[in-house]
Amino acid sequence: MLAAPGAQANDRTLKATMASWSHRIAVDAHGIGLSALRRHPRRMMHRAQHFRADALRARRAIAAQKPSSARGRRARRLSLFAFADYAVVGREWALSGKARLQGRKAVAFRHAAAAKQFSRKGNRLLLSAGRLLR
Amino acid sequence: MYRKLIPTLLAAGLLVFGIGASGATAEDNQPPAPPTGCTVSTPNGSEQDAADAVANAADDVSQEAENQQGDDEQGDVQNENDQSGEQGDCNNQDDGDQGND
Repeated sequence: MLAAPGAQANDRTLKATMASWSHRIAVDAHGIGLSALRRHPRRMMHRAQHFRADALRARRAIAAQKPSSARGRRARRLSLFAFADYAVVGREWALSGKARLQGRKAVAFRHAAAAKQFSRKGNRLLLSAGRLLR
Repeated sequence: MYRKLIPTLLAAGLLVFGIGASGATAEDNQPPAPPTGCTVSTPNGSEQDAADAVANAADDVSQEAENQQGDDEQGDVQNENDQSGEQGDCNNQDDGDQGND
């Protein structure tokens, strides 16, 4: 059975939205890594809050999409989970920076480790979602 | 006749030398090429690029948290309200909201 042209268009829109927000997230993450490497925890904290806000915006933008194919719907669901995980990653990074500023290194390390764990999960989900739309 | 020809040839030679030298100097004074360090730039915005950037940032933040070396407090405080970003930052892609929400 052939897919309706409208369904393809909706999947394409979802793919474009995901690509656009993936790009934004990549740029944000790059800045956070840069601040971390330069040992600027305050700046890192601000960027992490921005990263979290972008992840939540991405989530809302993707939730507004209406994919018509089964693969599109599955991709949408996976990417919603992925960006929710990225929002948690942003929060953990911000908490890590805050703890670092307060001189609580053990706490900073714990939050950084939690962020890493959620980032792995988010990455896996986002890549799976992307593969479904190829 | 040679008394006129020799100074003319000499002048022509100096002129050619001068043009060459000024051209070389102009090349030396050209502005430096823009930095190419913004490898995060993702023209196709693929999910793979985002996953790589997030994974790299997670590694960097963990390393920083583990690092016993003190923070660069002076640089951090000075730049607290500075929206211009840091050296090597992709600022042109990092300002404002995308408005897709």
